[in-house]
Amino acid sequence: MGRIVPDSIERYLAGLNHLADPVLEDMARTGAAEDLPLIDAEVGALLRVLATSIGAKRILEIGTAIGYSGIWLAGALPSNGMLVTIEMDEERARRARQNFARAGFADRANVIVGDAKLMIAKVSGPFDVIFQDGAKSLYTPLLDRLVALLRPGGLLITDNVLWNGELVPGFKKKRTRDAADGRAIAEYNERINAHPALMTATVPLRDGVAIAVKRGSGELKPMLDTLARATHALREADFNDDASR
Amino acid sequence: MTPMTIDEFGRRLRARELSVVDATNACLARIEADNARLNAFVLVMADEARRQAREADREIAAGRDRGPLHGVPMSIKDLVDMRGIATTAASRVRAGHVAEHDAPIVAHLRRAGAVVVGKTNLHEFALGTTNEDSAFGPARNPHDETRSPGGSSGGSAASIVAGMALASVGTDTGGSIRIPAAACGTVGLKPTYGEVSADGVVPLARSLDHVGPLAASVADAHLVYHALLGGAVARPLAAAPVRGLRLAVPRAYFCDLLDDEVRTAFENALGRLREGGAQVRDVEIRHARDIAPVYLHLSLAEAAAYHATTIDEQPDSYTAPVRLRLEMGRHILAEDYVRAQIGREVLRREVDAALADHDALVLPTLPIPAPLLGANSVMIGATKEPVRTVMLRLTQLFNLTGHPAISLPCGHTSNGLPCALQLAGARMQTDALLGVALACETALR
Repeated sequence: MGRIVPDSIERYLAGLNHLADPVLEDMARTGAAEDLPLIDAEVGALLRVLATSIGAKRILEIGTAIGYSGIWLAGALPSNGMLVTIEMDEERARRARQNFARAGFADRANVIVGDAKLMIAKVSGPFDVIFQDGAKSLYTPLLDRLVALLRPGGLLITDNVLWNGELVPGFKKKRTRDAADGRAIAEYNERINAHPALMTATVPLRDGVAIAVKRGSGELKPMLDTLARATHALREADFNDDASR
Repeated sequence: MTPMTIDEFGRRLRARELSVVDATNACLARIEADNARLNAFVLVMADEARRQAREADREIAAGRDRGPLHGVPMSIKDLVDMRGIATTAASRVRAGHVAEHDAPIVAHLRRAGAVVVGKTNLHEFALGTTNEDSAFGPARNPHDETRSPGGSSGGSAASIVAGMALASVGTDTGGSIRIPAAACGTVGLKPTYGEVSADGVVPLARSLDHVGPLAASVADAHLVYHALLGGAVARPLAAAPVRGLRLAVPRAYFCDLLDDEVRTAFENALGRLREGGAQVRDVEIRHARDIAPVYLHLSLAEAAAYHATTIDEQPDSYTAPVRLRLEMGRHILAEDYVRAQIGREVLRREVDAALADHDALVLPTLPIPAPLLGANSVMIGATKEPVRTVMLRLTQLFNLTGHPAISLPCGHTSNGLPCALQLAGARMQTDALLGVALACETALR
């Protein structure tokens, strides 16, 4: 449960969230019982809303676990969309595949087993959304490659960026999380907020979610406006009578 | 600035007044003196050119005359493969490229005896009309270095006007031979679609790409065009008499948006052709207003298809304007591409119909004189227009329809910038169009 937002607020938000389905709820119970590092349903809903809002067709996830966050993301995809998700642990990847099949997403989820550091050199972009929830020590080393894999206007969403509040001086008296990971995340937060290709906002939901949009789509906007005018003219043109002669 | 023609070079060569080495050295000297300023060449092949020149002189001395292009120093747009040399397309995307073969047109030119002095600057991947977006920096107009030489074959046109080559090979997807020819005051021919091989030429939009000559005169363009075809040596060009020439001016749309001085030069030229006995009538291309949208959808979709992988993998290797146009192409729907193909067929029939009772269409080539480098827009009368759209306005139709079209000089603005008129003829009748062009050139001289 949350340690940053007061529990009562989080319970209230959880009570409002009706986006989960029986498969997700079952997985959440399994995750809690086995103490697996799954996102919460509120973060899951945020992922699905964000991916849906930009019309994502291709999504990359670092850190599959048993496919819980992946199912939240895959739910935003059209039937010809694709989620590529990378998991280090063979057994978790196997369970994730089963869960994707249970949730009806076997046709649009591709679980890759391996070290994300190596695997992201093999996948090809562009992706509309990238969800970074893998090893915290790799957040910064993988950043530039992930930005390169993202389309302009695409979203890089990162979980755990507040790390239980422990990377904020004075917030927690007693540390329970890995301090080295905390330092890695703090460095990453500096980087994504200063990255020239990114525009970043952080939502203090659950363990903290950073949402960064890749810049560059703005410069395409006037071109697309020009194209839209030309396409309108083309569709208005009366070629059909002539062409059918 | 009156460059030597191939005709004149050939006469002097065969009269032993001039050697190929002399002519080649003269071009290389102009390059040495002015290329830093004009940036017309991205690669100067001085040693190889001198070697070829010596060989050409030896052949002449031994009585082996390869014909009208024997020993002619030429430049080639750096979009065309020459074996063992990078084809840069003026783009950092092409870093490390080395062509394995000569493009067939290069092989044809070599067989015809041409001496290649170097490869010329262009708008990156030929996707632009100003030559400003080039990995090598902009080529500059020899008439005014603050101005664009036109594009995309800007270096080719500049190289002729500046005496760095007697002729050049360019490519034309929306006007890229005719626009720089007009902006620099030289002749540029886009043959009928498909006549000249485009193999070994980096494509822009395959269904619109043409390869053709830029030259100092219509007669020279004719000689280079025939060499590019790779067939027999050209028969001398027969000028049609101006008297009785039936010329059609597509006024609506094509003459609606013209710089005042360009309009005056064009109307003066029409007046002189009339005085010479040509019949000049107005015709209508009914769907002229649809040309630009049709062209945009075909050209950018085809260009985006060719560039898809490199745009994904190394977007930052492109200049930003070219990258953005390619990305724009990725947003074109297949259904709109198909609509544009229907529009293209309608336009083709309308141009055919306009030519049914005429020897050629006559219209300006460029609505404006060479624009200032760095200008995104230009004033035409009281209206502000985007430079690129205006520059393509009068040429792109014939890329859509495949009709041969040639640009020739027709006077100057008050500050000495060239103006040009364009003639378009029946498909697969490029020689007939050249005959009409020769008659007009003579009448306008």
